[in-house]
Amino acid sequence: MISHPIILVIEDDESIANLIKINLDLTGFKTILAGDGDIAVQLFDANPVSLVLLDLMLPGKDGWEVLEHIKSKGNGKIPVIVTSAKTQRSDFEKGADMGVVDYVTKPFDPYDLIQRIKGILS
Amino acid sequence: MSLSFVIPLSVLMALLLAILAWLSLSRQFDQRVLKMKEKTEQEMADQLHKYQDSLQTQRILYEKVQQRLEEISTLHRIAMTLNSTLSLPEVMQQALREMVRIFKAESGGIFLKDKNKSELILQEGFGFPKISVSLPVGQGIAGVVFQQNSPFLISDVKSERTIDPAYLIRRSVSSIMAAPLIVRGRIIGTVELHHTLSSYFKDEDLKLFEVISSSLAMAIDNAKLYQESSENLEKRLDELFTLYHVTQVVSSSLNPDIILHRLQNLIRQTLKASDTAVLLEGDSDIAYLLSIKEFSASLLEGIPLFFSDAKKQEFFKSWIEKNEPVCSFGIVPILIDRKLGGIIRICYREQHDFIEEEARLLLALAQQAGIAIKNARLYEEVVKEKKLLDSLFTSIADGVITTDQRLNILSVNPAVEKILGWKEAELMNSPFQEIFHVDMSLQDNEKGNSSVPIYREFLVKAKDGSEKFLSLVFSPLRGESGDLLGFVSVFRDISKIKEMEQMKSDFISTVSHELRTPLTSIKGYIATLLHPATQFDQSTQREFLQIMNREVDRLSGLISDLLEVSRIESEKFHTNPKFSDLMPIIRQMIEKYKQMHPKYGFSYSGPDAVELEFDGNQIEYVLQHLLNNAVKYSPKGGDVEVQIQPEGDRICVSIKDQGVGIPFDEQEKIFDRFHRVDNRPTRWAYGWGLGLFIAKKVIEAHGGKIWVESILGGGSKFIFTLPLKNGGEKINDKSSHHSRH
Repeated sequence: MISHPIILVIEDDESIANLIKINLDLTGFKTILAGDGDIAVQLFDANPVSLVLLDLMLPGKDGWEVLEHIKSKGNGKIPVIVTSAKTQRSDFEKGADMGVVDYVTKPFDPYDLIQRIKGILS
Repeated sequence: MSLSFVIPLSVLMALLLAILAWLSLSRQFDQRVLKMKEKTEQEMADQLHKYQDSLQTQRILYEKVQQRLEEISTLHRIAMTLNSTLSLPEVMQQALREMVRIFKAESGGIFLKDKNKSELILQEGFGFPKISVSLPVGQGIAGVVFQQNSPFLISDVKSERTIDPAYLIRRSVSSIMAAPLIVRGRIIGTVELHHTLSSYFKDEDLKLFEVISSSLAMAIDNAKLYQESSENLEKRLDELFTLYHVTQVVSSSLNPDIILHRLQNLIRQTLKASDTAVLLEGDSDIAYLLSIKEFSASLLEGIPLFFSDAKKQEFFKSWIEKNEPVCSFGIVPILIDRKLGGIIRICYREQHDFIEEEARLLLALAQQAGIAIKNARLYEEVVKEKKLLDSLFTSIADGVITTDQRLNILSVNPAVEKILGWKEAELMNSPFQEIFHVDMSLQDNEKGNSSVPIYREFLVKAKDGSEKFLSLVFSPLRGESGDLLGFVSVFRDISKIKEMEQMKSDFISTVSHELRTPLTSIKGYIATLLHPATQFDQSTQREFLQIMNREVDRLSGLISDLLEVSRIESEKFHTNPKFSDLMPIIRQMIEKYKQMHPKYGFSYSGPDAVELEFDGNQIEYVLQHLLNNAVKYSPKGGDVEVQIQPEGDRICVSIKDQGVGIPFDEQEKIFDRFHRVDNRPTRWAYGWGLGLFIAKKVIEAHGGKIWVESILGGGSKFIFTLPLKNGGEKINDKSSHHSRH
């Protein structure tokens, strides 16, 4: 982790957002938090984000809209991991269709999430 | 020929007499001449004598021939007369007139024997005023002739002691000629001729009279036979006519009461009965008849009963006393499907002997009545069935559409209009697909032999443009022989069900999401704390534990909401109202929210105390939920005003915020189970869709109402009322206003 990759965490639930941040900080990632979709889009555009953790049910722009925005920028190569409590097959399929690299359902083990992030970025 | 012979003879005779006269005058002729004259005279006298004899013989012969001729022509004329008509009165009248003329009688009569009684009745009289005469066999001239079975002459009635023809003596009849009327050895009556002169009729007359009588007898017999057969024919015609009428009556109506009434009248008129009744199964009179062993067997087998003298029948005595003075009775069973379905009762006040024809007619009528009743009942059933089907068709909540084979609409029920808005007239004859825009093209097997219905669920545009989700069953409509008549479609508006399904599915995903969110925090913090590579200081650990504690509270709140809903749905929901003051609860609640959400300006106004019956926990839940909503849907903060106001027999509580508001068309729906306002444009918060549903149930269980007044973007005001019952409530009118400001 020489260059401290920036992870954009888009999560409206404050507790979960903090939980992810604590774990990412501990691993050595730089974390940017966004509490709603509109802010998320702004922060994504303003920062050299290496990976995005995306919750789907958000105030403002919803997760899918944010994902669309992310995929439309920078050749759409920036990996996105969905972290959602939505566990319907249709959501998984939609995510896969839109180029999501992983879909982590809530509740998740933060350690497991970190391992997945590491795996994708390495 | 006889005339040409007579005329020359008389001329010859006249000449001879002239010669004789001349000879007697000239006496001076000589002896020789005299002798010759004498001889000639003698010869001539002989000749004349002979001639006179022959003349006599000839005259007698001539007279006989004449008589025979006359007899033959008489017989011929009589035969002509007798054959000229087949009417019995005419035959008798003309024959008698002819006989009187032939025998130059003054009067005469024809007697015929009565069918049933041994009496001779004057059928035809000539030459005396019309009188009614009936003579017992053996009495009077006719009676004696009949008894003796031979013709006879009476030269002087007054000298006859054995016979007492009183009616003739009075008219000073002397001579009588009488003969029996015999046909094929059977005597059927007598004929007689009278004259006031004694010894008027001769033996020769009697012979001719006898011959003519036998011709008359034959003619009378023929006329009688003809009369009987034509009477029979008429009777049969009458029967047929009656039956024809019955058939008309029977087919004139399908109302059993009307048919029976008409049938009754027809039977009464046809059979000239004093009363008729058609009684149906269940009638007390039928039950009575069936209780009599002798009758029940016959009636059950369809055999009619006739009683000429009903009074003699023990069983009818009481009935006759109760009803009417009936003398003769007929009871004809009406069989319906071989079972006794009723009876025809025919009554006569006078004695009436039922004849075979009447019995036959009544049985035929009973048969017709049976058919009529059966038909009427069948018709009634069919009508009933049809009414049921009609009402089914009109009452059924599902839309029913029938089409022909080419799917053109033939009929629609009222539900179709209710569901889709199109009137029957608008749909008639239009193609099915035009309305439903659904592919109903059938596979060959569906078109042909199979009767398998097709199920389809699809969206259709109603007349007003709204979309309806329909569940439709489409089946071939087949005739008795299996031929395709068309199609019948039954459909149901399942928009509500679909909506509910969607809501449930949304709810499940929401529940799942809402449960997973706090669980994510709890599990995540525990996993972080437990991570072997990391050590956290005590304050961090405490912070984590506090977060977890809060998330556990959130989780249990969600679970109790779910339980509450399931309680409400399973109808185990009860309130436990107690009489107390509502105000302390409100005050505490406001204080709590002031501390929890310092961004918001909470205030309340109302009386110092409002005492009423309520369930403290449940009302607290409602208040809490409404305050939570006020906070949740006012993301930018703002004032939250709580107002408590007594209004007549109720207390009115309102919670007003300055939040995002609720669209007008959602304002009722938000109280539905699982319903959440589609807040896509603002996406402020995700609710359960249960809180307001529970609140509504709670308030309604208390006998109050809950509603919302809101403008999108202009805040919401939730109002609920609680009844002030029993008059025991105390409201402290000293209003107070508490505010954070």
